[in-house]
Amino acid sequence: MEKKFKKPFPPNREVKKNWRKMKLTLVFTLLVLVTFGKSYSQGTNLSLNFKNADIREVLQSIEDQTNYIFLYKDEIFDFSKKFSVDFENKNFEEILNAICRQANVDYEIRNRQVILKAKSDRTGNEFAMESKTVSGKVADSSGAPLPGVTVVVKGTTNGIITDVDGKYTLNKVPGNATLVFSFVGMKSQEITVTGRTTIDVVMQEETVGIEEVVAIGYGTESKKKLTTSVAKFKADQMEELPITNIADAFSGQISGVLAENGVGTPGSSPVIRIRGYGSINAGSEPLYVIDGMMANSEQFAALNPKSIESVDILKDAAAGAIYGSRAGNGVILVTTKKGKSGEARFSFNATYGVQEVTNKVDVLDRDQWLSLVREAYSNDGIDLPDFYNRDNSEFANTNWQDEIFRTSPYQNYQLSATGSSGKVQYYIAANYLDNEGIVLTTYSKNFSSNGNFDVKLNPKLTVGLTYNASHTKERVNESMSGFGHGSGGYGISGGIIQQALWFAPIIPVYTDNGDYGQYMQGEFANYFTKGYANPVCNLKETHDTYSKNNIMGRLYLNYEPLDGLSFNTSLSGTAYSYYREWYVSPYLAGNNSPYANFSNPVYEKINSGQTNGMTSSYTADAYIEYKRRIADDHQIDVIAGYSRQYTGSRSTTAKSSANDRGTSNALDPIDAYDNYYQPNIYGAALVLGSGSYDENAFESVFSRINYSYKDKYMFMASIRRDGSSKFAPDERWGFFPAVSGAWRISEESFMKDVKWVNELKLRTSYGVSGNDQFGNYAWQGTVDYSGLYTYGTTDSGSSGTGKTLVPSTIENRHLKWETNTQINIGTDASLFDNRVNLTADYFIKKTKDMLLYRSLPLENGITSSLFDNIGNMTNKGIELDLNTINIKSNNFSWTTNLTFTKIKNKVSDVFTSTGEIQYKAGTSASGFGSAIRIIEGHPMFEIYSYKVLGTFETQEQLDSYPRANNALIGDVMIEDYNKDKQINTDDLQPMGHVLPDFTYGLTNTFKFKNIDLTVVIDGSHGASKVVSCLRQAALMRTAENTLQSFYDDRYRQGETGHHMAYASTKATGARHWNMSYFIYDASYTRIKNVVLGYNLPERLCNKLLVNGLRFSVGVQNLHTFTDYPLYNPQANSYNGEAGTAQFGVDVGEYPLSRIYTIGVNLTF
Amino acid sequence: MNILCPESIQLVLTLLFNSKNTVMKYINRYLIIILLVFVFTGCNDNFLDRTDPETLSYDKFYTTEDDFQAALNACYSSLKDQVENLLTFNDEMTDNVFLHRYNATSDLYYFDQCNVPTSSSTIKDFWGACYSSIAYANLVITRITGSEVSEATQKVFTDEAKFIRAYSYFNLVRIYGGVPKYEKEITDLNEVYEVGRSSVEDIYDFIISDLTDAADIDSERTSEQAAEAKGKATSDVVKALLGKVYLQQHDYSNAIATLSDLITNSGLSLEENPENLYDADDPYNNNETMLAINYERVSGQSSPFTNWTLPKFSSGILPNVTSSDNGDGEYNIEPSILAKFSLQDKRRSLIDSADITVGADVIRYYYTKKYLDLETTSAGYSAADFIVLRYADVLLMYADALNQNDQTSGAYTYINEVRSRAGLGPLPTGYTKDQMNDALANERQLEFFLEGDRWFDLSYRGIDYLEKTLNSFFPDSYNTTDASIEDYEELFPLPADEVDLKPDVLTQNSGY
Repeated sequence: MEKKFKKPFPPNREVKKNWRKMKLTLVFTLLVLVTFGKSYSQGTNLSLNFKNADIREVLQSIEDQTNYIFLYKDEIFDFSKKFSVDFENKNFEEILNAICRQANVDYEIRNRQVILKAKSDRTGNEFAMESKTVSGKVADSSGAPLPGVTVVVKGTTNGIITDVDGKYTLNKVPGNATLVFSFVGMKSQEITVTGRTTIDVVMQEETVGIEEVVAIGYGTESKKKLTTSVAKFKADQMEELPITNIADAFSGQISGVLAENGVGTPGSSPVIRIRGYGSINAGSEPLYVIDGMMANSEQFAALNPKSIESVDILKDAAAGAIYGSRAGNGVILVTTKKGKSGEARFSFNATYGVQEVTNKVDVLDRDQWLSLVREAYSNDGIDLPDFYNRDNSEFANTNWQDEIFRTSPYQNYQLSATGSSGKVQYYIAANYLDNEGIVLTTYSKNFSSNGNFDVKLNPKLTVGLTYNASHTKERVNESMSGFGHGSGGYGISGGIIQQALWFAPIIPVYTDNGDYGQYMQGEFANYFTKGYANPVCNLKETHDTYSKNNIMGRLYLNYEPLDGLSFNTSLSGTAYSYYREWYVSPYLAGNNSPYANFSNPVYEKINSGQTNGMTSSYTADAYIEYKRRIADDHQIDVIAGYSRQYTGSRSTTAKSSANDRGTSNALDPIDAYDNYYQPNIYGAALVLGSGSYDENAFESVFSRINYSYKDKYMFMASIRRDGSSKFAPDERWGFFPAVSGAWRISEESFMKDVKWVNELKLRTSYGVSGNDQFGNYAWQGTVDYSGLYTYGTTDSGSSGTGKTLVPSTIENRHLKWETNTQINIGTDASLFDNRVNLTADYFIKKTKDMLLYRSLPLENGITSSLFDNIGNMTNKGIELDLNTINIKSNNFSWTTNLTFTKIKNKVSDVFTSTGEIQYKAGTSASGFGSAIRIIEGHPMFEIYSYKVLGTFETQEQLDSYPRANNALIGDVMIEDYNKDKQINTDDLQPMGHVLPDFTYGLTNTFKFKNIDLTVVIDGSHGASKVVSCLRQAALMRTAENTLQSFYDDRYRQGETGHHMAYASTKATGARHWNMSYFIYDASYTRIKNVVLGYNLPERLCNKLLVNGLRFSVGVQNLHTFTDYPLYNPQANSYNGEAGTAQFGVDVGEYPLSRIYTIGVNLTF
Repeated sequence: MNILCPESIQLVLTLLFNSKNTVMKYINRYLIIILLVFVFTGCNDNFLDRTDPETLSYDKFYTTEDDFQAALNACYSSLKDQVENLLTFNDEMTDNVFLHRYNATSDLYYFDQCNVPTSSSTIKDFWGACYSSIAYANLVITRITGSEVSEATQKVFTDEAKFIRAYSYFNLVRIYGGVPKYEKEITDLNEVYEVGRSSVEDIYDFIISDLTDAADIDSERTSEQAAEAKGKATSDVVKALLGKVYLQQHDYSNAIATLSDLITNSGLSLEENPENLYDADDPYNNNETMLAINYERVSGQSSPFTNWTLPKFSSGILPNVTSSDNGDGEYNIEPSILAKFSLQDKRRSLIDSADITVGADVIRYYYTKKYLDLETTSAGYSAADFIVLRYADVLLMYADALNQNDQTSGAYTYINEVRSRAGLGPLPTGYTKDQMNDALANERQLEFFLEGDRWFDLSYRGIDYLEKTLNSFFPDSYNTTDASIEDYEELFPLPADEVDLKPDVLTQNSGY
């Protein structure tokens, strides 16, 4: 609690502000020099309770409780000595006597000043000593003059502040005095005068000593008093990492938070899940709040990591409930960097890196593949065609992975400035990030700028502006992943990554005449009838670029009419727009009909289009906060507020498909191409347009009360009432309450002798939040007014043709949000001189009224299914964060951070007729069945497949055991799971689950003098995946390449114990069905980040006239220990996003890259 | 900014920045800013009301006459989904047609084999189609009261909707027996889980009540509306259906009264040349067709019947179709049934044949020309129409009613009128009631061949008659020599998925 300053000293408003801030930040080294107008009472009673405290804390506490001011010189105290005092309502003098005895000092009371003196000091006080005038100049580290710095003679009330030029002149300074220089945000300095009359000082920025504060939504709370589960991630934990997205840094660093890079394309953002999957069909995406603005994951991903000050993650429902209907999957609060007062300081950050694919998949080379082909012809009893009857060396030997992967650069630069000028504090930064993909032709480039401006209009009123603007240019390829020869977005075979695995090695990238080597073209035409496109050609000839612009701005106002009472209001707006254009060049257009290539450009099948999209939103919110400490023991903090938000999205697409081009301008290919077949739709004869438009609105009132008693018992309660346009009028308003409490056991008197416990807190919470991540209009009944019905011809007396009004979806007036209730029990402990810090949580998270599609009896006449609240799910978990300071000495330190998360998921109810929901694993191909299932009573996303027993080795086996799809000897034998003597989809059996049993992370940081080393390891255990893109590789056929492991395990005549089918020119049996050999354990341990840094010593920095200089080298994704066969055990082709609940399927995703970086960080 | 309540924002901005405002002199500027916080709360009207801008919410419809006309158009259009299944139930299931063998995986195979499982998609689709028509009709009936539509027109539209509803329930009750009954729009979705099967009698009472209400529809129409009534429910159409319902219920006296009224007063007559009845472009080019579901040669309104009835792999039948699959071969005429058409029967000219080469064999397939659309450029997108009711049906129903009512001699006039139009002589006199019953069944087969009538006609004559007729035919069947009809098959099964969704109240027909 702050003291009331009736008559400020020095008599200057600006300084008063700074003084108050100093108090706030607990800069204890400065004497407090205030004169009070109020008379004191000698009989003041007070209570004190300290354990192992610094004497300064004790004195501070007395100052806080009384009107007394202590004046003393630091040297009279032995600060290493700890104080423990316990006074309950004792007289001031009595306490003072006791303390002075303990501290071995004398005291003298003058009016309200208590002068403390060393016992030996019998010479009286310095105030009477001979003195002279001292003057000088104060500058910041950049050398710029620093106005407003307080300069006082230590132990006296004699002080002044520096003028605009940073100059000061102080009279009557004793020759042996010490001057104290202090300024908010800077380290205080004490300089002994020793007879000098001119003393110039350079102030250094303050970096330590501030108690950790976490954002809790509409306000902050000190971590010590937190009652809920909130994790904080600070900028310095990620500044050095070569990450393109802030979420990349989370991996393994925060328990309960999963950040999976399931699709590694440049510019893509990891999928973040807080405390597991909270939903099946609605999204499991957390709510993002960036500087108070509600944002989506795109906007979150567009933030440059270097602009971020901190990220606070609200994990339990009690913490999130203040965000109501959108907090069901947790909340991520992002705070960007804010301005610091003082002269402008600049910082330049540069990271340059090279990246490569983390691993390559072992497939057959030319010689092995040719031997497989020859074996296949022999197995099938077909004469080997002359084409293959040549020496191996006459064929190409292409490693397609080498052809599509590349070593590519990564660059990230940031220049920022922060400082203050007059009443304005500012932070501005410009960033550039250039990420060339490790797959040919892909890239993402991002330019961004962000800034913060605070203007203190008067002591009570502050206004500010925060903005973030970015422009991203990306080239990706929509057919990068995808199943088999399914169509990509352009009518071109999809699945480039997987096709690079099975494209035959004997096809050259380019043939002798310069054309792309293609299946079904030239000499290969008779032997490869599958319509895959050459992966290199596919990457080069499908052009697909995005230009994305993201602007977020927030204007806010803070008004404090009285101490402790504040009104906060803000208006923020975000606009995210994108422009996408794509086309398939005439050298690939139509793929194989007719055969496009350089020598045969097919103009009329160019497929092109463009989309313009825009999402804009604005939020207006306001809240009142009242903070007060009553009778010293009771601290209350109440907020009440209101918010409303509108979000609207629109997009327009214009495209021309193959055959819409017309052929008229194709006479002169080159000319026509240059002038007409531009990468846009303009050349098309027929352009089709489409558009989309949707919007939603929220209106909310919320309130929260935090109460603490003696900083020992904490209690929090909050409510939010949310109205959402997404729901039927009757179900539109939801109520989201939360309560939580904490007990700081370490503050109890019975703990004061337990020396090894510095801090011990128990927390518990209960809260309700919601999830509304699904379509904006799901409850509404709609009509289709587009059809026509003709009664007959008008001449025969009918009314001719009329429009039809057909109800197309049915209204669901009961539709409401998914409700998440969560109980959390946790503890925070700091032990052994704060060297061991432990946070542990246990939670039970129940999702009620899960939104799923329910089958509706057709008797309703309108729809066969309805989006409805029909399921329940539970996630139970434990989270551990253990932070230890293993070694701490002057020159060397070693800290370790260990995180561990175990979540048990159970789908408790699925109210469909079967209690089951099934998903295809990326393919609806025959025999594949539904590999991913959600079954009542089981964990969500169970994997089902046929269990491969081996291969049919004898006719006897063939006759006696059920076989699938007319299997022959050498074909795969499938377990007849239900023992009905036939093999069909009823024989699919559970083979694992997609969600991991537990995940973990380990971060070690070593510091030796100016050198530091950080190693981040993360891992996951127990999850399985359906690697459905290996389906083609399992065919063991003459049209595709295969994995080395499949090849080694193939059936060969006269051999036993193999699991893969025999080599053949065609696909017999069920070899490509949903087999257990497509299911892989996706457990991994990964060396995620290694960073070695060197800070230039201060001495050298000063010589170079810079504030700081740091060099670093790093590696991301150094090594992954796993049995996973492809590139990325985290790969998730469907991400489990809303509506496409498939999960745990890898259809051949963009690989993870290993990035080697060097970085420079210069502040000046 | 309109969302943020423009009035209040304007007010606040004015107060804040208009320094001449006298209010400002007295009120702390910052208090106004705080007020800004609270004015937001004062204007939440409609802020949360968002309807899908891409589609139309049906709350916003069903108000004007145009809306209801469009809703009725949808009712008629929805009958397509019903009649497109009628050939399967009536012709595929019986002795009229068989399924091309290369289509053996199709759901129609079950019907060809007379072994329909509860999982059949046709069984489910037809169920859904009938209930869609009912739901659309119920929307009109429920919502037109209190709408902007004039009271006179309300009555006309309601009667049309009632006809649609009655026709749909009539189809349901003949296929499935007693079914769940919905008399108005479903507003609480829980209802569809709770409503069980009504009795057959209940459903018929409901149908008759609807049709009785609608029978005077002609008198309610304005002259303008009457001039455009072709293709809609007219009094003649309603009465013909009512006659059919009475007959189906074996209520012969009411059937006779209703149908004789039509024969006496309707002014309908038989079209001289039967081929004219099947003009794809103009179903009402004659005085016989009472109600046809009309299809057009455009996407969204096109007919599948041409494609379904032409033999698979046939080519050249449709001159403007180049591909060699004019047809899907779903309804190939049973060769053994051809003999029933005598050579002078004009209706035989509605049957043609095509020789299809399959492997080494050349096979002759017979097909009906009733659904031929020679002008179409794609077999799947023809204009071939489906006739729901025509005057020949009225005549034969009347003959049937008389015969069943022991007035066999009176039936001759009407059956002979139909025979005469086909170019056939009168029936020999002196038939017993049973002989006349056989003659009528036979005549109806020839007359309404592949018009979705056969199964209904046979089952109307009783399960024994159905079994006798079909079981004696099967040995001669093209595909189905060992099939048989058993007692329980008088009714088709309820869709398994529907029973699964509400097993407590929706009981499956016995035998399935």
